[in-house]
Amino acid sequence: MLGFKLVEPDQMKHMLSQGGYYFISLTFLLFVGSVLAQTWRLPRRWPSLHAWLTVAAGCALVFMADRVGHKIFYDESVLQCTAMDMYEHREVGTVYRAFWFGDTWATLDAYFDKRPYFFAYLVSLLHDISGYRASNVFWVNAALVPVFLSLVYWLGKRLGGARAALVSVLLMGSLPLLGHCALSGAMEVHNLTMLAALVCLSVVYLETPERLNLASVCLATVLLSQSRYESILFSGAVALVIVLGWVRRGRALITPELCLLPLFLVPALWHNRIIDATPSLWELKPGQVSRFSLEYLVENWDGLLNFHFHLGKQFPNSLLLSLGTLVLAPVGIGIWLRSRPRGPFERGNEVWWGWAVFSILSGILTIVLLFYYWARLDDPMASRFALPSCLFAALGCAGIYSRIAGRYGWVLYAGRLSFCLYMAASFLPKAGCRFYTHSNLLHAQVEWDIAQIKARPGVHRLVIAGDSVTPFIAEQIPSIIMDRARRRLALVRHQLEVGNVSEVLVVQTLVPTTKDGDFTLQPGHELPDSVKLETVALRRFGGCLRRISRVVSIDAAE
Amino acid sequence: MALPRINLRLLLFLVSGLLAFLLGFVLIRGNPAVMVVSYGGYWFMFAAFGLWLHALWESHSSEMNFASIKRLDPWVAASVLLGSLLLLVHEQKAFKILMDEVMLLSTSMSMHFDRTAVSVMRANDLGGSFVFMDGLIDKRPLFHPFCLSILHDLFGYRPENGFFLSGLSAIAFLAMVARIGQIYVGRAGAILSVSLFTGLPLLAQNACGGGFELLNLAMLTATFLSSLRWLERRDGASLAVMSLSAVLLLQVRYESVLLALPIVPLVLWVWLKERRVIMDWRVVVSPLLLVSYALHYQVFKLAPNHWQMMSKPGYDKPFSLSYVGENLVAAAKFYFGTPSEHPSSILFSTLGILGVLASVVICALWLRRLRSRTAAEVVALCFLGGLALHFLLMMAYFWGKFDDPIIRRLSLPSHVWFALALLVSLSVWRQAVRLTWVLCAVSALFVVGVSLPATARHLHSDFYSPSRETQWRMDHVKANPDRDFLIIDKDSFIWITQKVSATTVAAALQRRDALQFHLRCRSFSEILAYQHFVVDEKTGVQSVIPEDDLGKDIDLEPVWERRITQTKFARLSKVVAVRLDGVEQRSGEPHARPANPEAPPAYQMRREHLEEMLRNLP
Repeated sequence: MLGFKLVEPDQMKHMLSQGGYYFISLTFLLFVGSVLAQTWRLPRRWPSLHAWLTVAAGCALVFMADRVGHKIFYDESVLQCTAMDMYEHREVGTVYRAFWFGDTWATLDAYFDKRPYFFAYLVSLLHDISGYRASNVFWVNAALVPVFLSLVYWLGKRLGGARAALVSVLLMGSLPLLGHCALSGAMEVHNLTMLAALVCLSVVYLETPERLNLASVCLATVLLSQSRYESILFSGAVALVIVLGWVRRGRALITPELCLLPLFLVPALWHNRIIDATPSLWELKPGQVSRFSLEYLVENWDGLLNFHFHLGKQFPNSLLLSLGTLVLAPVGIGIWLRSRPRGPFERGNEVWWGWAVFSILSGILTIVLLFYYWARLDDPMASRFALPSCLFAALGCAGIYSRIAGRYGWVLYAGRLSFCLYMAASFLPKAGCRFYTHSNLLHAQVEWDIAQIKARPGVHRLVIAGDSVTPFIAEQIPSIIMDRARRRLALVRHQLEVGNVSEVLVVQTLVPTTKDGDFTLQPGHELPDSVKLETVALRRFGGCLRRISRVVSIDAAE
Repeated sequence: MALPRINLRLLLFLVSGLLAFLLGFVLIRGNPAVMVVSYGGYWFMFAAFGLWLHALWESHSSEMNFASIKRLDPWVAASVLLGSLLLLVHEQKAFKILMDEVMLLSTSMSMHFDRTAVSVMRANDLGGSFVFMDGLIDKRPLFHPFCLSILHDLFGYRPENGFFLSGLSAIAFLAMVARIGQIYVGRAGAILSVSLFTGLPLLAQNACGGGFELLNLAMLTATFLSSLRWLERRDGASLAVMSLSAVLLLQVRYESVLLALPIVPLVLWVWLKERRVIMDWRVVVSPLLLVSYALHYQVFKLAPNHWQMMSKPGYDKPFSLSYVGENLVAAAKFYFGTPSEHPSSILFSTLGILGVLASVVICALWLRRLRSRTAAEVVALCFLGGLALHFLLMMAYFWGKFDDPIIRRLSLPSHVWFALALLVSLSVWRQAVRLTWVLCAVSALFVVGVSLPATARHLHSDFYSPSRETQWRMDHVKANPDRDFLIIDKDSFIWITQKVSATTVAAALQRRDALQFHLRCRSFSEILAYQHFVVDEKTGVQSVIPEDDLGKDIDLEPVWERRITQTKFARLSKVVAVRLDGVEQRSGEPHARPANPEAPPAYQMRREHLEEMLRNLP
């Protein structure tokens, strides 16, 4: 009732904006407390040297795969601006107007964005400790990498011992897409970490279905639903896991946490309803009318195959993982059929059940994404959707491989040789070239803009941006969008005249009109003729020119 | 009559050898050879290096423990560390030889990015990605670029990785030289070897460069030590380590094939001693690993003037005994030259030549009673022969004058020869240890009193200007990290290895229309030309050298200039205007036209313009 009927979208927006921070704080606190209580009961034992070295090797591969920097235009800076609002105002909103008043950075306006805010919350926690730094978003992601790989190691070890743990970590570490996302400011690695944590907790719950373990599963589900939009679908897998636990226990385990779980999921439902009610947040491409449609299927399927089985360096895929899955999946099914499983009642198979339930959900999620308007995996902006399925494929491959490699020596050697060849022929050249990172010219332009602006003498300045203001606001550079500048030109002139702003810079893109160049301003980047500009810096990016100009004068008539 | 028992692995080795010969010298020629080396060169090296590591692990893994570290002689270890430090801190980290180092770096670049073995000749920054557009197979063997590409893989592409590789090779070389000294004369021998090499400014010069000399020395000493192990262990793993070390050694420098030859008698020696054939599967495949090396030679022969005979007028053959006389005189000038003239060590040369003379007598005596010789003696005998052969080859080479600044580095293996001969001579003498300690003290004094100041002043390298010019170019790139410019330079590949768009003077002259296009569209923030000028001593008139002349239709504006000699300087200029068929295009900001609502979609125009720009890249 609360999620779908009683509250209107505007009220939801207001309530989430004002209370979202406290809701996520409470959930996170309960989750941390619950997991600490779980681990407190375990025997004190340091992880083995094998575990340390494996996770370290995995981290080394991830950090080698790309360079630190923004990868997804708009997404990442929006998350940074949301973290800024959470840090400064304890509200959930994306700052889009902010200025320096003397030495005070004042955020004036924020809007409620479509992105879940658990990741932004974690970044805001780091801001609480270190003070606001735009780079904190990268530190959070970097810190999540060892956590994620440790969880993968744990799951791998449960699936097939130390060898499976090593293989699963190496398969994930050598997935260029993971490095691509881990060294960015996006929320993908955080989502993946929460997903791996949820699977681990589900396995623990299946092994010992009791109250505390169930509480951790419930809270992890809530947090996962706040990590990415579509992650709420994994609640279905959690429901199945809970029922399996009941079956193993022989009776239903109804706890207060379980009863509260639907209520805790209400904010995520509200978030989705707000998005449904705000088409401007959908970011549909020209000609598209709905987010999910059958017409996207063929194209997305092509993209999926193209991404997973691409031989070149264009996409951050792992051919080893794709081909490994293709080869080992039938072997795994064969082993499963021959072992005649007795269902969840059989002891020792909990991790396989946990893996199977979440893998099926991940498969369903992949199918759902095939109908989504922006899920062509060979699009650099959408490749990241492949991460959850890659995680379960890696775990499955590691488990099956360790079983057959223990029996047949040649499989072991074939695996080692395949990994070495894959590293030399695919992973390392991709890490060297990083075409998928360099091809993102929008970010290259913004990075160049920010570097040029920061290199100028430190004065109070205003940037009029052609594309988006959030990358500048995230760097604490006051910025307004071109359209707003056109409408409020008199105010800009006034600020210049009274000296509140010593310099106004304009960032524009020039696009070619013929094959010989003959550049013109990109539509939407024009300013009235009354604004006299002087070029400060100019650089080519692909087929376009990026120009930063200084406003010399603005005629009073405007 | 019973048939003799045939060793299957030996048979397979012979078949693999025959197959390798057919593939390398008979079946694949011309363009297919170029293709195999371009696209397969990296993978041949990958297989050889991988198998070498595998054999090393198999042979040494049981000894790799904490106890083996504790067995290290601390004095020898300290001398190696101190020697490495002294070698690496005084010289400037820079490219020392114009072509060699940059070409190796260029090949490593294509190995790192594309897994191809070509030197990049044309490359451009296209929308953030540095794209290779043209390349050719360089004559230099592939092991050094392969090692460098591994460093690029691990730490990202950096031209400075070449210095890092040389530094690592220098440390490994000194450690192995110390081990050889220890084997023959004990601790004193180890310290003497290290101090003699530390006192050789030529070694420091190359250890701080980006060339393949130090890797060559390291692989030579590695092959020597693995040969010793083979004679002691006589098992498949040690045979594989030795054979694959030799396979890698002969792919470091062209002439190193002579240094790898000694392993042949050593293999036969053990087989005869053991009265059985010991063979390993990695040795069976090793001839096939050399197919790309043989094909590389075929490609080398395809190039006109492949021996670069034109570079030395008056010489018509690459090798001739008639060159020996003048080359020996040049070698003597080098070995006994002053520190300001040559980066040699007079002490090392004197002791080494005395050692060589003594070793000739010792080897002759050993040869008379070969059967009773120890492993160390047999190995020394074979390698002294190989090194002597190498020296003779250098003396018969038309470009083998050791007193030439570019050629000095070819004398490095001869210093290994000197050191080994000295150690062998000392090892047979009963009073050797005491004398060796005396020599250590003299050598240490020589390092402090002569070599270190000579290395610090490095007057011997200041005569060679191309090295300084390469550094100036690198400095310009460092000062302009955006790398958003196009360079016109006859040595364009130097800029390309710095990931800067570059083209040659000839290409720029041919494509003035393209230069106009880029000035008009402002594809690059600047188009720059790197040129050399000479000053007439009498009139003071400056004129550009013909190879760098861009003609009257390209207007230039100087950015900076540096003096090379009293009458020659280098200048970097900005292209400000290009004229073609009476039309002048000046540099500057493109004029933004008003938007045309009827123009085709923006993405289509962007693609078409980018394609046009690609077509216009000179």
